[in-house]
Amino acid sequence: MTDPAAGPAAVPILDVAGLSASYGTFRALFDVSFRVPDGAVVALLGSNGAGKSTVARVVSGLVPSTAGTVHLAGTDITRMAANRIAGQGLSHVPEGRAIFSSLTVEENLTLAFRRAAGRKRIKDLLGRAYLAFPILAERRQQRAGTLSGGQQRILSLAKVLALPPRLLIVDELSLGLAPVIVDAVYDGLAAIRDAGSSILIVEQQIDRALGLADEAVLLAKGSVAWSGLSGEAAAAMDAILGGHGAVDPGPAPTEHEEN
Amino acid sequence: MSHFLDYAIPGVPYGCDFALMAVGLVLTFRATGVFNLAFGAQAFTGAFIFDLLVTAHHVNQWVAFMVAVLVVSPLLGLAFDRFLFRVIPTASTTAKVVTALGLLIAIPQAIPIIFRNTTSLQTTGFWLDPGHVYLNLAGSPVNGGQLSTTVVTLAVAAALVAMLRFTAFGLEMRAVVESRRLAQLEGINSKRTAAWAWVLSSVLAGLAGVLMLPLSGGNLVPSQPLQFTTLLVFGLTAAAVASVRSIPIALVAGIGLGILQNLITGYLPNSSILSAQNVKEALPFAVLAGVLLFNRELRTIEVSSDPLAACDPPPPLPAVAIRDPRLSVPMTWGFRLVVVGFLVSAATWVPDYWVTALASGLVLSVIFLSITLITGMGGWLSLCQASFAGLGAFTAGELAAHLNLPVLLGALVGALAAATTGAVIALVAARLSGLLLALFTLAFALFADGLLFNLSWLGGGNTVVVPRPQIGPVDFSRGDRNFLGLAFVVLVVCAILVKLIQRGTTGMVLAALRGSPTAAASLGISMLRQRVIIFTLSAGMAGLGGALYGSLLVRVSSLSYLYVYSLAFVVVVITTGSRSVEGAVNAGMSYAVLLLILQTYFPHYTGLEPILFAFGAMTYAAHPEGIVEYQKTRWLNRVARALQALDARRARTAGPDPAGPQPATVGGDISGA
Amino acid sequence: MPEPDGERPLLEVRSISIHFGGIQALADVSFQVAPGEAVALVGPNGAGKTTVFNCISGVSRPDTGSVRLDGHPIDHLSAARRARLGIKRTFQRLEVFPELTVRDHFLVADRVSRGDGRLWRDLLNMGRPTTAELEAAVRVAGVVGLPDALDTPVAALTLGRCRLVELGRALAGRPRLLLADEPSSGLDVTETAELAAVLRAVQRDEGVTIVLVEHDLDMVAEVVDRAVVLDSGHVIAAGPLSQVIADPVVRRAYLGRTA
Repeated sequence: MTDPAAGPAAVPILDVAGLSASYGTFRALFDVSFRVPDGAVVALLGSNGAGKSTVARVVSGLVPSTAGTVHLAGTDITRMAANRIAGQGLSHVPEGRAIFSSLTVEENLTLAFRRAAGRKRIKDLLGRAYLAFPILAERRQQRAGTLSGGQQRILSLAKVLALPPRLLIVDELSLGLAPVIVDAVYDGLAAIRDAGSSILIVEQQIDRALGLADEAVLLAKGSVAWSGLSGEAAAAMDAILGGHGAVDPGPAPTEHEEN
Repeated sequence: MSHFLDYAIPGVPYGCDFALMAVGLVLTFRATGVFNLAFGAQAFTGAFIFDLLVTAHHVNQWVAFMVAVLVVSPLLGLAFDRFLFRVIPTASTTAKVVTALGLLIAIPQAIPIIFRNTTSLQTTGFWLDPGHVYLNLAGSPVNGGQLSTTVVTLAVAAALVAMLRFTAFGLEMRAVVESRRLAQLEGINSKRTAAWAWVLSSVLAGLAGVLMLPLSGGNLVPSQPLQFTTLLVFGLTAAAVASVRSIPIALVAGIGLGILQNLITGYLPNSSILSAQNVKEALPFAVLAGVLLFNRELRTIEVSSDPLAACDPPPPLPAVAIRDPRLSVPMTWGFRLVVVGFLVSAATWVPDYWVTALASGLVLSVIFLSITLITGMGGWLSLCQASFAGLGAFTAGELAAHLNLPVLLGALVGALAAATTGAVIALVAARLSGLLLALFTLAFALFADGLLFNLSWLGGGNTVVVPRPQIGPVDFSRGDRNFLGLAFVVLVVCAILVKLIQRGTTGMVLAALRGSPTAAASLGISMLRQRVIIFTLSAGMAGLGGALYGSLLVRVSSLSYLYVYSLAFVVVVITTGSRSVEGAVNAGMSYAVLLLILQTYFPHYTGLEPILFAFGAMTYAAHPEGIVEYQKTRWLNRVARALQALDARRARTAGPDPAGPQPATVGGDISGA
Repeated sequence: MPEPDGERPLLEVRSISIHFGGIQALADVSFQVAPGEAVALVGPNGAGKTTVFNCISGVSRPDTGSVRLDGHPIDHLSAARRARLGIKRTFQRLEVFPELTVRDHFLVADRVSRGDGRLWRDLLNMGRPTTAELEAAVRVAGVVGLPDALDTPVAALTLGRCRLVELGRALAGRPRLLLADEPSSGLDVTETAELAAVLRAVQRDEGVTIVLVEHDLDMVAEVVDRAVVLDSGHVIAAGPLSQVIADPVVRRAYLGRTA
């Protein structure tokens, strides 16, 4: 597994400090701070609507922040355009369809490898991707939109695996996939981690994410509710989110009876 | 068969021209989300610059071609992107269409003025000599103009398709077309790629314009940029056939339309209603309407294919007016004073030629109120209000001529006819929304111009006399002062109607539908029903106004109600303020007065007034409530804030009672009746 | 009015299935809701909860299966017709009318539900709200806790209060069945508790049948007695809330945990 050798003085690959964001009048994030140490896998957990995807989108530059800063390996990327952030070595696989469905499998891969420069290099990278996922080689001239959900997810990982980024953000990678395919997808993530990338996993399937992660950050209602080592995350989650019944029922309803 | 080819082959070059427009439309829409109606204007600009350089400055035609097509056209497109459409990325497709509409009207008027050249476009050709027959194809001669148009189009189209398919740039472009956001995550600068899409499509538009010159045989007139709008209409029809999606289909559809148009000329008789000329004119309508109604794939064009579309923030809301209730009394009295002052002045000291202008302003205001109903309150863009007006006028005129019906009664019948037509349009286009509905109304306007107004019982394309009315002893044909009074009465009645609807349940229901059709349906509001009601009322009002306009001018022809007027009317009303009765009246009066001022003091610059309004339309996306309304809101809010500050100071000096930061008198908009 | 026998369910969803593109969004979903009951529809992100709502309210049409109200199939009716039968809903993504005041929201819902608001009444200046209508609006504002905001345009309200406006709008339309879609999304803890209290009052005091889609299990526990659990378009459990939540299958699907 990974070697969390990075000392406390090392610059974290991702440093999010005091981040807030909103969509129009909808405030999605309130003062979110956390770090991803270099070479580590961090799981970003929380229920639907907690703001996990928004964190991912703000970090990769898709959604502007209203306050706070984001640093990628010490470089301030808070106000950078998404394409320039991508050029800095951050790769974001968004939730849902994360590939170009009107392009063929090979065109999708070529698009991702294009920045690595040189036709020969692209050929080499394509070969590497097809070797890792033979199913993609079989369908290289097929439109990506005709792939199954699992194959699409594998395609988006193949892009990353052949050319590992400094930081990979994956958003709800297991959503809507059969368990066998989720296994394959997580195997792919482990391979990417072993190739040297740091990973931020945004996930609802907690067990899967915690199995791979070194650390975990728990979001609730757009704020960080807990963060720590992944081994302790399960207990913390039960205390904060999943108690349902075992947990303090919250503000007494009687206060609102006069409404 | 050879007869078929005789007519089909000469249609191909026209079709090529349409195809260039169609491909450009598809490219811009997919890459930037703008349905760029301004392509007509860009084509015109390309042709105009080319002609100016060749005929007036005797520049080598290849150099002129380079400048017009490869320099000026792309610069124009880039300017659109940089200064207009990029500023409003989250605006609705409809708002972007209005902006483009403003450009479509303004540019062809502005260009000849800028270059101080109003002669007709004289250049007869580009590249091969149009007067020379180069080859015979299946027995039909092909001249140089036809040959160069076809060859250039096919070469450009092949190059474009090859570039998109086989180059790295084409790959990036296709990625951006599918999802701007995903492409950015791949490190692609989507904005730059979108700008390139503008450049490419603008080159196509300019090219289409230049290639149009040899086909028209040197008959294009800058002050009549209609031909270029026709080019645009055929182009957008072909784009619609391709679901504004596929470039190859758009290409084939464009060429197909050109052939079809020519075949009609060959096969239909030259007399009767279905004469070749009539049908040819109405062809875009038939094809466009058919495609809009039956191409199901088209219905989802406003639904983004971008899986990351949810990242975009919602569009800005129009500012809410905070009107201090203390203002209502002075404002009501001020308004009454203005109205009385207007009437007294018009009846006494104002010179005659001003009276005519004011009367036409009042009549136009009635037509413009119909736009307040449909666009301001309903939220639907109708591009055929002038056709409804024409329907009203011709009905009244024909009834007066043949049945001796009093003209006011005829006007009411005309309004009824227009209203029925409006209801039918709303029912037929029941499933269309937003952009498609607007295009459908445009198709109807083309149908009215091309076929309906050429029917013998609706004027037959000739001048129709709509007499001035006579009520008892009052003869409205003697001077315009009487007529102004009549117009005023009609306007007041219509304004009260609109006000009542706005204030009543219907107004609330329409505001709900504009705000959120989904939520409105969840309350039990039927969109179709409301649409039929508003289309009926609006068309009726436009018909009444049109009949009145006819009666003011006495002699009208179908040229007085051309579809370009529909476009201009919408732009004028939206610019001043489509949400309120005041906006429509402001639009009507200022349009008429401006026209008079320009005609009196700047007689050389005809057509300047649409420019002023059209440039105003470009602010629509930022201020959908209209400039006048926006300024009014700002002013009202400023006064309200000043009054509150005064209250707060008074309260502080009077006692410890803390005045809240929120005004206690928010809303309360039920002001002066 | 509910049927006198009381046995018949108010809402009956009979094995509905629907797919979008290649994805099976709902597979053979069935459940019933008795008059006056409050039922929660829970499940992980993407389980198909909102799709069920869309099928009930007429926004989407299921491929197969049937939705019945009072035992009568309503599958052929448009969304507007179903609303006039008493099915009212709120939306996960806020859907208010930005140009209208809070009072207008309630008035328009009330009038439309009564089939009032003919054009001729407007034209005869009879469109003004009557005293009874104004009182009804004030009453609704009291129920949802917005008595001070009646004259405010909703564009000037916070998200939390806009959710209350949506709820009030649904209530003003005299619902028999209220579909509340993630009403707590975007609200803070206090606002969520207030909303829960309002929903409970609506069900117990006004006798409105409620189906609630919600992630916040504290809030669900506050409002409902029974829950239907969806996962990947299938119903995986149904029954009293405490039982359903203890079910290991549900815990695995919902929290992604085997615990």
